[in-house]
Amino acid sequence: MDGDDLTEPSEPPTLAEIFTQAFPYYLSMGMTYDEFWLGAPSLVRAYRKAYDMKRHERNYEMWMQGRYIFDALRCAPLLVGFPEEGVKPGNYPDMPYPLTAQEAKEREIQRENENTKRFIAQLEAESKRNLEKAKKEAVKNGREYD
Amino acid sequence: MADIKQVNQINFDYNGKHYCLEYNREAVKRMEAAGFKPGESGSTPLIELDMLWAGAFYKNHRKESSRIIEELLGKMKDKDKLLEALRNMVAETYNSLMDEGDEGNVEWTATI
Repeated sequence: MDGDDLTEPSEPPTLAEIFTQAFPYYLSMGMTYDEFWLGAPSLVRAYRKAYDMKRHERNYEMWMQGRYIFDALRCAPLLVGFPEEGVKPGNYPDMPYPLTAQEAKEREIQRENENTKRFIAQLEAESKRNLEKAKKEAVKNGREYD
Repeated sequence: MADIKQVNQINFDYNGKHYCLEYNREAVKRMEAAGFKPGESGSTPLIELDMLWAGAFYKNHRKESSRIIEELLGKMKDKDKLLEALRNMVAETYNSLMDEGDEGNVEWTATI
């Protein structure tokens, strides 16, 4: 008759059916048959967590790759359409991006140290130049230079 | 005392032998094939306890005789608590697929 649902209400799946259905998903994560069926049931949680970590890592790698490509394109403006006059190519980073805040801090300290060393070297060179100049002038004027 | 809801193993010694009862998915699959229906109100707790108890030997003590398995069940004290622990252990084989929790392994030492 119209409106009558003659189909039997479907039975809820058995646990075995649920396990069998979930099994390929865990196989795709690298879990073995023995680990899934014969191992500790809670092991699947560790696999899910590890899989999640792997996905995040992959996502981050892809994002980083995009940034490196973007940097590479910025270094070659002539390759991107018609650049405006006076546009100069940027510098491609001379080392990979820091992955952690700690690494970024270490890089910053390293950069500051290098700047300080460069500044001291410039001061020393300038002072040496001034000294040489003073010596030359003293000789030229017939004076002795101490 | 372990929280009965998080128990994944039941440990005890009997006649100089250590028993560690737990389930894996294969054991639950076999129990269902033998007629066990989790959460079914029709079966009496005693039949349910018998099936759960026997199934808990599959993972680590598969070759234990059914006579010893029955004998051990007979000697177990606090059967209500035992039934609850076994039900929760079976539920863990399913819940671990669904939840995000990380209860780890909790043991319960049963008293004979």
